[in-house]
Amino acid sequence: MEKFTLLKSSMVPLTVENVDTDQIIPARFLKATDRKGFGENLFRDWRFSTDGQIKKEFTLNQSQYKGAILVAGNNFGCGSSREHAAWALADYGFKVVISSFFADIFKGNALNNGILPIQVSPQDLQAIFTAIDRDTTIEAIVDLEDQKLRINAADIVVSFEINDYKKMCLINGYDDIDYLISQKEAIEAFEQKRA
Amino acid sequence: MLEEKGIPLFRPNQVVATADHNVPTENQHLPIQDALSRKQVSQLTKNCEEYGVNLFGLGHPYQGIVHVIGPELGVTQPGMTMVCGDSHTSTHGAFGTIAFGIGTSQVAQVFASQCVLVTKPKSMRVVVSGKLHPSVEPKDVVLYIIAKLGTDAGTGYFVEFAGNVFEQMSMEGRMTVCNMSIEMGARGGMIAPDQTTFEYVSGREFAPKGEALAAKIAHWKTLPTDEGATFDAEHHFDAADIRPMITYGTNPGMGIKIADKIPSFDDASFVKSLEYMGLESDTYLLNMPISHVFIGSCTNSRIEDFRAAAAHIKGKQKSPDVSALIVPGSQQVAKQIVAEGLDEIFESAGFKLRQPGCSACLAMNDDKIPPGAYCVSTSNRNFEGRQGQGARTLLASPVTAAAAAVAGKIVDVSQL
Repeated sequence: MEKFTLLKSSMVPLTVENVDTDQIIPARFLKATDRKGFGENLFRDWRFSTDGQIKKEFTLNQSQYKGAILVAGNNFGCGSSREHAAWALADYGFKVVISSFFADIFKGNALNNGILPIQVSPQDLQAIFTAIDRDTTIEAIVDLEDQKLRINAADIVVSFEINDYKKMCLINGYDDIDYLISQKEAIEAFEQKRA
Repeated sequence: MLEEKGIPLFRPNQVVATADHNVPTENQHLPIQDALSRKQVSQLTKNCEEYGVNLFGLGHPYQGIVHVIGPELGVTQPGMTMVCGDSHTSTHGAFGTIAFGIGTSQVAQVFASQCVLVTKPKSMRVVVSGKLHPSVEPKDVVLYIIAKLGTDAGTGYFVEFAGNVFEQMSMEGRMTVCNMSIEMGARGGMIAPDQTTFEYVSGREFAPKGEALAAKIAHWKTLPTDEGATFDAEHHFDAADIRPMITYGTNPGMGIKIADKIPSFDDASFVKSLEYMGLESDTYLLNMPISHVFIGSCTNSRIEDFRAAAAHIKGKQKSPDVSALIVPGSQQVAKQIVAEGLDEIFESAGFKLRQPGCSACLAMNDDKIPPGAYCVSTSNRNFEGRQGQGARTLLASPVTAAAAAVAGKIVDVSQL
């Protein structure tokens, strides 16, 4: 996994609430046996109409919005457990998703793929949307070490929570398997006790 | 992932596999037409052989949707911890198991160590007590709960469903309820194991037998929540208030009693949702024409679901304007449908009876609902495009779906 420490980027706003994983990556694109190339179909049915025409009004199709940070409405990533949703976001180039609430499974999948989900208050989320609305090129700085999201041009500073272990994994690019393998003796002892 | 790291499967005999999401529901004896699906399934077969995993693949008499076959084979047992790369793994909570969906990376963790790293969830209890209206099915109960609490109310929680309504429910009904826990955001839902549970598990293929079973049951009896236990959140509902339910929007929380009006909210996401559905606030769904009906999915594809649907359909014909699909959850359910003569009821009424799989629930195979079409579906998600690009899903119970297929429009089965 790629290491994550500091990110400076402009943001892409997606004001819709309850964005489910079927929107992030529709099921018909899940028929793959490796995890590359999903970015092409990220938000497929919001980016393109059924006849393949570009939907100009959708945020990813608007050239003024660029960057590695997606700012999304409440309850982002609800629905299915497909990790392809995280793969598609990462493959498209997103490294951070900001929302006022994340669905559980998506949040775990994101962290396991080097994407940082940042939960902010509904007020802060609104302030960020407003800041992007005023200046589409406005930049945010995400400092994972410090657990701070800063948008200096809009005087926004938000502290965010992250599990210490997951933070360590992101900063070092570790994944959970290495950790679990190191616990093999304890796992076997537990199995013996339960048998 | 594991091969790259040279890590073997830690406990292959504690892993079970099946092919469900992407399989065709016609001509399963022939090679899969879709090249990508064929590759996925053959990769699964190869991997299972190589690593010694028990696979119930296409053509196997036990093949079916993982959340249907686990319970019916007795693989699912009270007190277990079960995970699967599918969010509806919550289904197995009906047995008093800790069961939840995980992503691919976590599947790899489990393969490597039989463990998964999770944050301890908060606890929620949803109590439904009182007497249900005779027309109300388990699906209506869970759609009612989700409509009341919302699609994210359970996020961060595991939910126990308690109260006489669930105590009196069959195991299949309990599975329908727990299945949809994730639709209120809860990774897991559970119901205390009781005599109904023990009787269901006893005698199944992979269930313990004889003395081993007796010992297990003694242990299973210790699993229910202690009296006086406290929960981080608790909700109570009166069973008498529940009526047949239907959804009108693009998340499962957007549900109403079928005779009620679509509500009105001044909210951009709500407006977007109704626009997608081609529906308007303050109007009725009742009597609205529909063109498609799907009875199937891990929520409602067990024998009781088909018995309930067949009881309504018997002696009637589906509307000529409706395409109606019946997809059993497993080969064993399909066999039972034939044994009970339900296949004749469905076929003579003009319903298409298919072979087991996830099918039109998520449109990963050829079973898709066309753009703009309304489909009354017994599945679990009414997300945009879930049943096909542009498809409009109305979630309901098997009886409501069967009634809609016959009438060609939305009808209130509590008034029949």
